[in-house]
Amino acid sequence: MNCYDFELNISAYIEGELKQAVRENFINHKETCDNCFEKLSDISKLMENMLNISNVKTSSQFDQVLRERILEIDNKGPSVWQRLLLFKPLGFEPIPALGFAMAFVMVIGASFLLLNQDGLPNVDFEKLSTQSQQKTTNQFKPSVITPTKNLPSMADSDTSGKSNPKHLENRIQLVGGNK
Amino acid sequence: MSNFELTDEELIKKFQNGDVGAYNQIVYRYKDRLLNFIYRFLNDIDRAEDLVQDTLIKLYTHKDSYREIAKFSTWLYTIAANLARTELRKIKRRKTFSVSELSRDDREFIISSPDIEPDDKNLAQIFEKNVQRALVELPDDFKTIIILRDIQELSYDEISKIVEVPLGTVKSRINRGRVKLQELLKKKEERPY
Repeated sequence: MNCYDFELNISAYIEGELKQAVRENFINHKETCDNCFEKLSDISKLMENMLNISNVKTSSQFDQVLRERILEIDNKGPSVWQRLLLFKPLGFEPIPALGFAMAFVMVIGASFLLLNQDGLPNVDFEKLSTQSQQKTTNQFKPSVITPTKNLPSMADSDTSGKSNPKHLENRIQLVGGNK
Repeated sequence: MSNFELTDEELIKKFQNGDVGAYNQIVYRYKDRLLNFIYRFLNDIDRAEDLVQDTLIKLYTHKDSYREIAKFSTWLYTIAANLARTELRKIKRRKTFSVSELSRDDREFIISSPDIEPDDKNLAQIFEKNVQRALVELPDDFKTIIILRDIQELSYDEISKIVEVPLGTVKSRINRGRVKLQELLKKKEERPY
């Protein structure tokens, strides 16, 4: 056993928890190493003295102060959250009861809506569908114009100032338009 | 059977059923033990007393949180240890140490005259002060375990449950803690002030 292992086993040795073989190694090392022997005796002395450390006691007003604080708590009563947690509707635990109540309200609400469809505002689905079709065609009008890769250079362009439709066809590419 | 003869677990059960006398008995049994634990941890007797109050108030308001799967003392020490650790963190954050904030015992220690020949009682007191000061310097993980084991004399199993670390870790921390504490004490003996 070396000094490092010896140090690791000091407490176990003092408390009698070392296995026989390790214990023998420990004792052998203790007898040969002065430093470790000193460390062991210091720690055993420390443990012995620690048990004799005097106990501190609570002050004379301790009980009185505690009683007053408890009285204050009792007078204040439980908080809203505590009251909610303590509330047991029909003997049920609060959280499952709350879940059940919410589910119940949702079921009632949904059935009310289904059973009272006449009361809902009239919707002209035909008109709606034509409106939406019109919207979609508007949406797909070309909105972004980007130059093509093989753009003819400025030198190729007609200097007359009139736009050539064939050139224009080559120059622009429609993005997002209907084919 | 009177409350004096009941076990802690029986007392808390009675208290959970509304017997305030059982609570008073628990307070009587634990107030000094908790004070010793927290005082060794914080090294401030007034603050420690406040935290014992807080622990016992928590016991009063959260009595129903205790289930008989653990020992009552373990549960109570866990509350106290958590409060003490939180308080220590706050103190470290503030880091405003002044003479006025020293504990009662520290003040007494500073005032005492060094000319007096130390007898056995004085030696014991000096040792106690040195241990207290060394404990303050010990890392929190070691400190809690050392106090619970060597001053409060709790079992390894109980300590393991209180600090929520495996039994093997508790044992190795106790050993390392003792070695560290001894080294700190040795330094203090060489340089007492």
